[in-house]
Amino acid sequence: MLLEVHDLRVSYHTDEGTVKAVDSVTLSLGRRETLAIVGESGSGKSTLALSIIGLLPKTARVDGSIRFLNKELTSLREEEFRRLRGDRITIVFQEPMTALNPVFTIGKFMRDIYLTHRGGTEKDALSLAREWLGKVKVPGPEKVLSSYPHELSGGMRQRVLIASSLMLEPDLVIMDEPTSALDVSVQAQILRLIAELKSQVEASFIFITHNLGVAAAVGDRVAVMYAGKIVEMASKEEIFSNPMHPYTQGLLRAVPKVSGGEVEPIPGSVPSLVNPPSGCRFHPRCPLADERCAEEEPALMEVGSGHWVACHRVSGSGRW
Amino acid sequence: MLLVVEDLVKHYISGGFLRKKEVVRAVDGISFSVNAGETLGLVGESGSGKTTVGKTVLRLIEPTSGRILFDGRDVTAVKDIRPLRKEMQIVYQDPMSSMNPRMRIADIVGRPLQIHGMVSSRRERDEMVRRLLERVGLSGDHLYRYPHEFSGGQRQRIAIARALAPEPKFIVLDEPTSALDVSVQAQILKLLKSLQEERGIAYLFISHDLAVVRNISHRVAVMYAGKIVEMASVEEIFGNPMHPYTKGLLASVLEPSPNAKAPDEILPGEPPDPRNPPSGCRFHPRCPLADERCAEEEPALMEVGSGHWVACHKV
Amino acid sequence: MLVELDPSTKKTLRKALRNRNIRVGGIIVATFVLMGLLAPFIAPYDPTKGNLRDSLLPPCSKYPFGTDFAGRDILSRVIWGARTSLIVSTVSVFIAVIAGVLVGGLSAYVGGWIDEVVTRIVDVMLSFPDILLALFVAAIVGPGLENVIVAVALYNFPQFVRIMRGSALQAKEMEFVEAARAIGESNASIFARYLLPNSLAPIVVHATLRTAASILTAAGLSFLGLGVQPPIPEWGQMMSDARTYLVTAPHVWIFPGIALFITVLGFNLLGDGLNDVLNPKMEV
Repeated sequence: MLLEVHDLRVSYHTDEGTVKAVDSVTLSLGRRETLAIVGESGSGKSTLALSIIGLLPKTARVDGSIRFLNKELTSLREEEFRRLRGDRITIVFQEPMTALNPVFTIGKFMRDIYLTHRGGTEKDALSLAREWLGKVKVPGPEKVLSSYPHELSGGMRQRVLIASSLMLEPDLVIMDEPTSALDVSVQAQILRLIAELKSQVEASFIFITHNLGVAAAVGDRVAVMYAGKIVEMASKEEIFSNPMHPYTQGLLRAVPKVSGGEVEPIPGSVPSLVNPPSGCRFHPRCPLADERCAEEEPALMEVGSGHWVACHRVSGSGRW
Repeated sequence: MLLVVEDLVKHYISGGFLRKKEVVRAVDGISFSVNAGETLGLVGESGSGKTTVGKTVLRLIEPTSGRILFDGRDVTAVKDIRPLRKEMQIVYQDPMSSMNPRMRIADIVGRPLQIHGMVSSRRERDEMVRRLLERVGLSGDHLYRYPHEFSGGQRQRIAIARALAPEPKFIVLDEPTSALDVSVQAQILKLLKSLQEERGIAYLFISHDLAVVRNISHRVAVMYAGKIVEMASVEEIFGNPMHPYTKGLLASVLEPSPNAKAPDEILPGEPPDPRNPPSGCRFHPRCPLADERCAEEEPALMEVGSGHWVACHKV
Repeated sequence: MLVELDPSTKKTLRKALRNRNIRVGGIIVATFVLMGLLAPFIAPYDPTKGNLRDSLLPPCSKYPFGTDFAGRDILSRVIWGARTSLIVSTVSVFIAVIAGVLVGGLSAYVGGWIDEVVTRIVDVMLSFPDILLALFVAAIVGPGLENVIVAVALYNFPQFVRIMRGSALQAKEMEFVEAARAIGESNASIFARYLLPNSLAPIVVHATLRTAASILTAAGLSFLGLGVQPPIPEWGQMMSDARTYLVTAPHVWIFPGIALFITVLGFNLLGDGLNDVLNPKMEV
């Protein structure tokens, strides 16, 4: 396994109380695999991603274990992490403008990444950058290298960041809502590009998204998060053809589809992470909830080959 | 017809004196109508001008030219628009920024009632606000709270209650569910539909999300770079799309299904800069069917089937 | 009906009470205000009547701060001086705030050439150093309590116009202002109900800071003889009177000087603290 996260808990102290952003998450990721993590706001999906790449704010408290390339990341010193970050683990954010320094050209940005981690000459750096801009299908890579971020469109900037995140041939690439700020047609281009690149590189991907359609398009496996926990995890085929957790089922029914059909909302709203519901966190919104759900927290259990669900009503109903 | 828009144009002119003069053609000559009790979905990507259309119809933005007839009255010609405001309302994408953070819910929802003289006392107002809140699925006890004390979905319900308060005939819904979580989005869509059934309100539903538009609209207009490129009933647009842009958009949509994969046939390029739109058909640089004529001559929106309008030389 | 404080107001209050600048500044300002208000009751002597036999006495048990050349009790004069400073600074800042908020707010809301003209005038006024503008006015209208108030108000005025204009311009771009138009609010109502309440936080902060500056300016004018006239006790004027005895009787200027220093410091601390609490964007 490339990455093994075990019983990870991340919490913050705020004025309102302790926010348990990620609560007891366990997952693993093999080589060349893509895990899509789906969740609504406050599900903890982005916090999970940031904890893997060591970019959580200093106020965050992290417990549990993250093993990557046989190193324990949670106890890694900052300068060791810095060597890893941008080299072995990279990240692409939703808003490319925040990742790009507005006063540097794209060429300088990409060159610095290379020189920081690989050393070598500027010439090598630039020729690698040029090669990767070609691979992400940026028209006129030479011109883009001498452009400033604001001179590029949103879609082009995101291509530049994808090239930058892949050019050192990392083991793990985290993509945090990389297409959410883009237009529908541009989103489709970027997803197409990512799908093509996946077959060309050795990296594994963690793809964070709120969009079930995007998760289905890119993920080999899909994990559904709710209120800081993984509630269901399975292969893409399994999770969309046989969703078991009432939350996953509810989400699928709540999404409008271009093929038509009525939507069925999930009642209520996403709970506060300062004071989450007792027992199963989904129980106040769950159509199947009973007393046990309000008292006892369900564990994530394997109910079929590679299909994990955290729900009393699934294991209890003997559907597996 | 409740609302008739004829050849609406909105150009923003910047620069001039010392700087280069620039004209942003946000909306460039569009016509459509909305029937009473009907939902017209207005779909488009960023820069298509869809939000400008919504706000110009309400004269929150002054149109450059064109005619807007609401219930037989010319919206662009009336001297005082304020009495008309009672009948046409708007709900924004971000309910937080569209509410005065220092007002209580009673005032936010109650102001339209006071402005249009629908209540004579504070008690009467609060009673009506309470009923409106309950109608949109909130507790009437929230009267004296502030917007920031609510979740995103609840705030959007408050915004809907505010729009409902003056008993309008028409509401512009500007991406009302785009900032919401999936599970909550469905709640708001259901609420909007039931309000329409109950009160016969017409909606102009502006969105970039085709699936949402399909869910709520009776008819759909697709906008691209300030123009309507296709307009038809929802069944026609989704079942028999004719404009290459509409087809491309539909092919770009991802649906959660076990055999989903990244889309194959997709539109190349990005939406054009409205300061400098392409010649001829504005879509031609991205169009798989484009020929010379498309680059030179602008296609008109023509009726190709009953109620199905397309602006494309190739159809 | 008694409406309970909403949680965010409560949170702001709690934050304010935890802020050290606010606590220290608040205590100083409160002491100063109380001193000014209660001067007739707490001052041991009449501040204007002296006993020439007790002229220039150093601090002693009878006169804790000593006496000045006319044999007046300096402690009593410092206490009454607080009252003068309190009146001059608060009244002038109050006038400047009201005028500045109206002019700046309307200028921003109306826009167009009116805004252009107002902005230019304000820019010209702001290009003078504070004290120079006040001096200029004081020189024209002459000395005296009311005139000092006018002079100080006038030099504060452009500052508030600028701040109010800036924050109203910001508020004007907020979507809720457009939403207010959409429900049919009138211009006057939009100004009063939407723009004003959302522009006031920086005004409050600045008013506190300007109070400190105004106390200093008023004292400066009096020191130069253009301010409050004797026999009304005023700190700047007291220090001016002490010039002759700078070395021989330093207590005559030290005590009003300390009072002035601490009061100005207090208002500045309070202003900085309020800024931290009310303008949370400055937080890291």
